[in-house]
Amino acid sequence: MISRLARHLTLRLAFFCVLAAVFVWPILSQAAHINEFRDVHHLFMYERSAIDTIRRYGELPLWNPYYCGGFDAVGAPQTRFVSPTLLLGLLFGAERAEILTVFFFAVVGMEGMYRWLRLRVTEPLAALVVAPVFALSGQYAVAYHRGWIQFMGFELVPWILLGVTLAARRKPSGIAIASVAFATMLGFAGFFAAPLVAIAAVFEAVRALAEEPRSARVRSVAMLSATASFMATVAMLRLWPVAETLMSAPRIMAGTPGHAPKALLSALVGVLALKDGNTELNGSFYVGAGFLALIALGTHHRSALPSVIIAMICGWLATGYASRISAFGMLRELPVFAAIRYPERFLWLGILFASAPVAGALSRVPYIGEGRKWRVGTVLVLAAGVCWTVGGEIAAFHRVALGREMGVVTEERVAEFRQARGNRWLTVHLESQNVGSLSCYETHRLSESTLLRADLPAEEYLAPDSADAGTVKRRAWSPTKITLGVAVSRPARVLVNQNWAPGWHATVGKVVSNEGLLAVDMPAGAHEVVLTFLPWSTLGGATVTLVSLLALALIGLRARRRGEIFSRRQVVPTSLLVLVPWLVAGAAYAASPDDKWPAPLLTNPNGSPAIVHEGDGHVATRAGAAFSLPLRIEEGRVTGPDEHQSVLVDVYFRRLAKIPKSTTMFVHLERRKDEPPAAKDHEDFYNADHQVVGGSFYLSDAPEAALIHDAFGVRIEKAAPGTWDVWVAFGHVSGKKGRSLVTSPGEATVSDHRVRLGTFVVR
Amino acid sequence: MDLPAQIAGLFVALATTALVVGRAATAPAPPPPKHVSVEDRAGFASQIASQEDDWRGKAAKDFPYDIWSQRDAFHGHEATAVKDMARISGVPYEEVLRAIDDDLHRADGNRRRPARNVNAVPVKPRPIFD
Repeated sequence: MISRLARHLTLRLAFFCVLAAVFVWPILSQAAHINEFRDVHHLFMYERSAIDTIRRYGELPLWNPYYCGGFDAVGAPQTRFVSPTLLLGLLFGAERAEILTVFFFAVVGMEGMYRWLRLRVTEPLAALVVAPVFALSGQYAVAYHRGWIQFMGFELVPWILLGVTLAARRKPSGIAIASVAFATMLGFAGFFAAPLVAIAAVFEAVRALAEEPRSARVRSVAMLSATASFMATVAMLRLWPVAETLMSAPRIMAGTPGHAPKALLSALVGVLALKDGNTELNGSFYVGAGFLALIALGTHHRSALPSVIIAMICGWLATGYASRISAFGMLRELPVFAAIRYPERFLWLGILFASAPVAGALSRVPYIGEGRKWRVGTVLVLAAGVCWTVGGEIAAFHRVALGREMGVVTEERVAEFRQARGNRWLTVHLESQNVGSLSCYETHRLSESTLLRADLPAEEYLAPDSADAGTVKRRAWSPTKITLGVAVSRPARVLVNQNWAPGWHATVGKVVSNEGLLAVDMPAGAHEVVLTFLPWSTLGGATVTLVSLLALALIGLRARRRGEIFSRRQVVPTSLLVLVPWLVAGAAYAASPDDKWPAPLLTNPNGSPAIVHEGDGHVATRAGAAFSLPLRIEEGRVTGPDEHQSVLVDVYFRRLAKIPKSTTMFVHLERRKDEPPAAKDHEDFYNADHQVVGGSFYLSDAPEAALIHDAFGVRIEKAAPGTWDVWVAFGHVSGKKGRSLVTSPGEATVSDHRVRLGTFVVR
Repeated sequence: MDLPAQIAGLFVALATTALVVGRAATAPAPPPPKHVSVEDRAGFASQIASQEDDWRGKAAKDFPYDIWSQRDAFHGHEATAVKDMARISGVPYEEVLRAIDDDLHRADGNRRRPARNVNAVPVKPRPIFD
């Protein structure tokens, strides 16, 4: 009977709501406070300023002036207000909305899991009790503790997979479910999860296709293609602005992260606890040993095989570079996937797919044996296993959530917005005062002007070369609209102490970028000029989203009347409806009146340019050493040690043909062997290997044949006295595949296929 | 039999949601902030200013030839000091941050303290996080 009741939506929702309420209950008493964990500050501030912009100024939160000198808020990958959860913030305030968002996402996640599991699990009760395991798993506790609320969007992954399978089964509702869930996830800042979702969707699509009869597969493929297309176009409101942002300032991620299977096991079954105010890998994907045992029980049936295989592939991906053959490493060779940071996040997908065999175990094991006693006994044991798992997850969430450092935001706003030096570790406390923080951190580079100042008497002023031409006065200010009174005796440039971005327009004069600073070239005379931020990327993206939703609705209507949408008679009109959003997108892109972002400035961490020309005046020692990889070190220089016990290394090299993305520059600072032995607390070797030039681009992305300048500092505080050499070589990032051989030493000294770049002396 | 069960389910779901929303909406608000005097603010500002050279030196040592990381490390030290100061004085962080900002915006501030990091250093996150 319980099984029958589980089929009813309201009863399931009651169960899930009660579970979600238990999940968040102790944290609700802290709802008016804010999490002071470091990452929270800018993430929470994004949400808070969006809510403030709507509530206080009655504007759409298109521009955020409170951080890094201002940026396109819809185009920022980590803003989460382009989703229905914004309503919670508008109703209850940003602070109180946060835990409510967790509650609602948990319910949505459980219902999504139930529906997705039911596609392949016939027993409703089994799907009902397994659904919470993924939706309340340990990574949500970690994300909440760190203020990564956007990761709650991962609760929508089961919905996306549900949509994919329904589409493969030629049900048009699948297209709508997958598209809307994906767009909501991206609107909720799900960009870091998106590559993982893409992989999960491919796994699901392949599995669903394999389940279909051969005769229907062509139509299923067409349905899946339409799903992929609508997933992109419905999300265009967010995809287009974010794509523009990331193309102007790409996210660069290097390194060879990896975990041994034992470490991953501890992530799944260990106790999630705080250490020094943060969580560790142990328990960070907690599902408990009971869940793993149930997976093992579930594998007895053939139908569980695809899920188990996918879960195992996810486990393999989660090992990162620790595997001999790294699936994660192969994945990172692909363009978008190169920016994936944490391989262990594939455990999330592993848990998701492994839930199916667990539900299978719950539904089948009681019927393996005979007799009522066996059935009751096994049901009790299995139910206890699930209760233990979910109970452990809830306890882990409470433990880390209640261990957060909590603070209070005080609203004491200055009358006139201004930029402050600020502090990115405390930026919420600046936004609440109506001041911006020039101190800035993001996971990608931001286009931030070096002319921004935190000590100006006025935020809008005349450029130095026209400072005597007249006056500028602020008449009104809001985040996306600045009204100025300008009186100038000759054409003059007005500077605004915020960043320029495509989408700023002026009622008088012309908006320009003044070394990245927002500026307006004004004609002579007295004018009231209104600067407004309305980027075409958001307008165009919103139009494409709207058209896509209309096209989806039309497809739905046609499906009701005429049945299958890719039948011989329907294929043409359906294909046209799939194409229309792309045609609108193409037309909107072509019609864009906004200026484009300039090419990203490629610099080294010390500010020097990463691409130089011969004869630019740089001084370095000639090397001319060639490697078996098509790379040539042209020149080098070693400077130091300086007063901070650091040396500066400058490498000038060329990439002469295509090289693998995994190519790394090995840099060894070595004390000469003929020096007397180093004292115990001294070092005689330092390593400065890297895969990315100046934090700006991979070695493999260096412009071919251009002279690349790679400058970096190395701290050698404990270096033993004596003469040191700096050696440079190339090879594979993992170091496992050996070094590229030196094929021609040129004028350089070579040892062990390393080129000596220079020397320094430690006294 | 199913209809009453469904209605009961709906009631439980709505009641639970209402309970959660109600508890979040009525969670005790923080007490009103304590304000500090002009003298105290000046004290905060000068305490911060007096430590800045030290923070800059530490940051330059920890992140050689990396200007954004140096600036970020500077602000890390500053954040710790702001929190400590606010905690000891029993005032919101906003009071200390405002004191610093007012100090930097003072008309004579620029000439006397040219190196107080009042310019922007574009963010350049370090590419290795593992």
